[in-house]
Amino acid sequence: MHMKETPLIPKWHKELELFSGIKPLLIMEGNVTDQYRYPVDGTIGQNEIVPLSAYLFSYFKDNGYDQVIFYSNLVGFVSPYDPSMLERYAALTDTEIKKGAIPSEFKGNDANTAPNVVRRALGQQQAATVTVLEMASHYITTPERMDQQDVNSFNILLQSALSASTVRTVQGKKQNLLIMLVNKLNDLPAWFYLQNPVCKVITLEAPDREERKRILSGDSFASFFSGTVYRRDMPFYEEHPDELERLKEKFVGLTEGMTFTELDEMRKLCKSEETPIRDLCKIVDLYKYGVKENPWSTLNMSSLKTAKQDFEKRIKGQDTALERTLDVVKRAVTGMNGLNSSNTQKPKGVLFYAGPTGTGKTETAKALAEKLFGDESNCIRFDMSEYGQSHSDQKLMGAPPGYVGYEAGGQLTNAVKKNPFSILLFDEIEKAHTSILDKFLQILEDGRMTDGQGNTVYFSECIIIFTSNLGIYVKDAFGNREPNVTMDMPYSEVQTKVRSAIEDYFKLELGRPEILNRIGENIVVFDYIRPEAAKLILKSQVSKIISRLAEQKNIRIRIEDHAYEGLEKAATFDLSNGGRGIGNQVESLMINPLSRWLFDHEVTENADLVIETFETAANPPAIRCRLEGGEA
Amino acid sequence: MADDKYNLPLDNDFTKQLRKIAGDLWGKADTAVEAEPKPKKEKPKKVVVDQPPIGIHNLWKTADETIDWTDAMSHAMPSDGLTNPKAWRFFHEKAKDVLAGKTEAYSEVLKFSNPLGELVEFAEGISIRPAGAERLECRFTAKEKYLEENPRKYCAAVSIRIARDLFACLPVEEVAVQVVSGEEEIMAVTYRREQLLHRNFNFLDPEVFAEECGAEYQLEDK
Repeated sequence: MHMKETPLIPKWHKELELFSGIKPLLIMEGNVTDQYRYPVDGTIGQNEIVPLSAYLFSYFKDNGYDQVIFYSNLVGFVSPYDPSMLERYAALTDTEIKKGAIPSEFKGNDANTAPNVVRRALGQQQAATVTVLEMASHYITTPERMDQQDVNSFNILLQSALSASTVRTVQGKKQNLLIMLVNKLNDLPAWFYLQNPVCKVITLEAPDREERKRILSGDSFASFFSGTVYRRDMPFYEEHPDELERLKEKFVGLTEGMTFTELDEMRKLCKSEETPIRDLCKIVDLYKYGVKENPWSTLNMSSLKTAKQDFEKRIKGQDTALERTLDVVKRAVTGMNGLNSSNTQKPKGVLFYAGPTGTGKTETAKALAEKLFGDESNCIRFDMSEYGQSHSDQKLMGAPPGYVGYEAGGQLTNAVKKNPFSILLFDEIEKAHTSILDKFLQILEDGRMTDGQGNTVYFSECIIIFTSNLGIYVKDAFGNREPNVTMDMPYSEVQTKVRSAIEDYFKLELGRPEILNRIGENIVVFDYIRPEAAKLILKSQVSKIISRLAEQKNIRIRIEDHAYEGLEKAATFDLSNGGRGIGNQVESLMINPLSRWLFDHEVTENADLVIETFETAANPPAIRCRLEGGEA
Repeated sequence: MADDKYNLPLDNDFTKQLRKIAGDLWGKADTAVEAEPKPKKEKPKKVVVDQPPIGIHNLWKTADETIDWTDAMSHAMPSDGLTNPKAWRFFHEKAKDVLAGKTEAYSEVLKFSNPLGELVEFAEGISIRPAGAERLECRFTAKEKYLEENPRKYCAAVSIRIARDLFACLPVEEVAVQVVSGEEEIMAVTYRREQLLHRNFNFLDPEVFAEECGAEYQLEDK
């Protein structure tokens, strides 16, 4: 015998049940444009997914109301589910039906404006009546700029609710009701609902975990798949129910925050794409991002095996940091990320790069983006020193409605919407305002963020990297800045000291240990550029210049050994500015004098050049060269 | 009111002529009879989408609507609001067995839906047989008149259409089509569902496609 499921009544439904007998004015806000599962058998069958208006109609009809009428300022009063109700409503409110509706403006001095009609409907005692004002967010432009007629209209509605009548029906006494459906409560004037004893605000939220589970339960699970797929795949899952349960659990986790409409659309997509049961969760990516292949699942494993060697070509002397970075990537690729958490929506990985300036933090992030997604541009960089003001979070997430720049959206949310598979690099995080750190907390915990326009942006396919110079300098007892670590310390000591300074910063200085908890064990300390690494950096930079000149100008350069030794000595003398310092030295000791020499000797292309000496002590530095086959 | 009786319409030719002469003389038409008929409220025109006639040149471009077996299993009534409720009830009853791959259920559905009914114009003696949960086998006798012009195109076009209709009807993976002429087999092909997925049949050459799917012809020998 077929067993009916125990009805799962959403919280807002329970509130509706409770307060429709008490309060004559109910404001339903939030997810009002969504569809809902009707929880019990009635005018609509149990578990049918219907728009909110159909849900309300059935609920009130099943509960003994004589008429449920809907109003929108575009068409007037209508009764789409039972036209006979509209005739009674017209008679009760002394109005006329024209073309299947009672035409009525929201504001004006006419006796047949919507508020006046509602007043008559609420005041009569002949038929228990529910009037639902749909799209009530759009009756006025903004609550702040209401003209007197707007105010009057809302005032009449308020007065009507205050003097609403009770009607005797076969199912007992019923109060005439006014229900307003709004997207956001603040679309209505505050005086209308605040301190209003006859008003109850009911918030409709996206389906919770239990509701989402229901969508996958029983026969409705089958409707996610085409007949062929279901017939082919189901026998396996009947034999392995645990596997199926795990799959459903994952899907439920991934669809957090999604509406019924979205879930239903995903169901249709899953079916039209002939998605196999095992790939149920992939449909979430397809729906969210519009891509079939998740770059994470198509990563070339063999290329990742050689990633460390590839990274070392770009970043010198940071073995431990590279190792730690690749650990996070491997965890993301193997899908082990988030195994220790119930939330599968968290970002793929979080890294906190600390260390002295010029040690390759940003370069590592770029190299990682190139390795993972094949393009350095997938590393989206945000310089957090630009986000130091208290209102900077709006720059990242988008301004709320009514504020300047609302249409533009946020820089971060736009970037992730455009490219959900990316590396987000937040440079110098300690310079951001603390209000931004709160936003990061949410991203790290839930993996999503709602922008100013109300769109949800998902960070679950991103790697998030913070960089910081925290812990390199500390303040002494007198508030003076002094180095916390120095180049003569071994790496292990640098690591311990920097890590402990970062912990102190979040725990003691900011008083936000929870942020530190989210970063967890992912603090990666970059070592100073040691002399050996400095030599490698110099070598790679010089060879890059030589090969570029050969490619672009056909100017082949050879540096004599003693000349190179001189350059090396001068360029790696001061390593306090790290790799960037070496780059500056190469520019000043080699690139500038070389271009000057080429210009002076009118060598523009096709030449063989030998650099004999770098005159590093000269002011400005110079070089001595000769053209092969002739004295210069 | 008293004048109304004189305004009664008289429809013989003589009176019509008289009225015309009177109108010419006095510059006024007899309003009672010549008055413009009251404009009738125009009924909205019915929109009819013209379907091109089906022939060998376009047979493979269309197919029956897919029966949504998983929806049929989960809903007692048609969820799309389009499918005939009587047919849906039948599908709803059979859905569990069909999705379990039971061949008896396949046969019942084939009998009920008659998916190849429209093809009698192009093929004779069509028979369909479920060969397990994943495969349907169909056999038909070619019509001589179509064999005369371009027999390859004819066999390919009909076989593709058969495959499309059968894939739309039942959740099978393969449809094997055998075309015979007299007692001899002139074409045999097996289509797999994935070969037909996401294809734009409007721009597909049936001969090339059938060949891609492994069609074998014995036409040359004939």
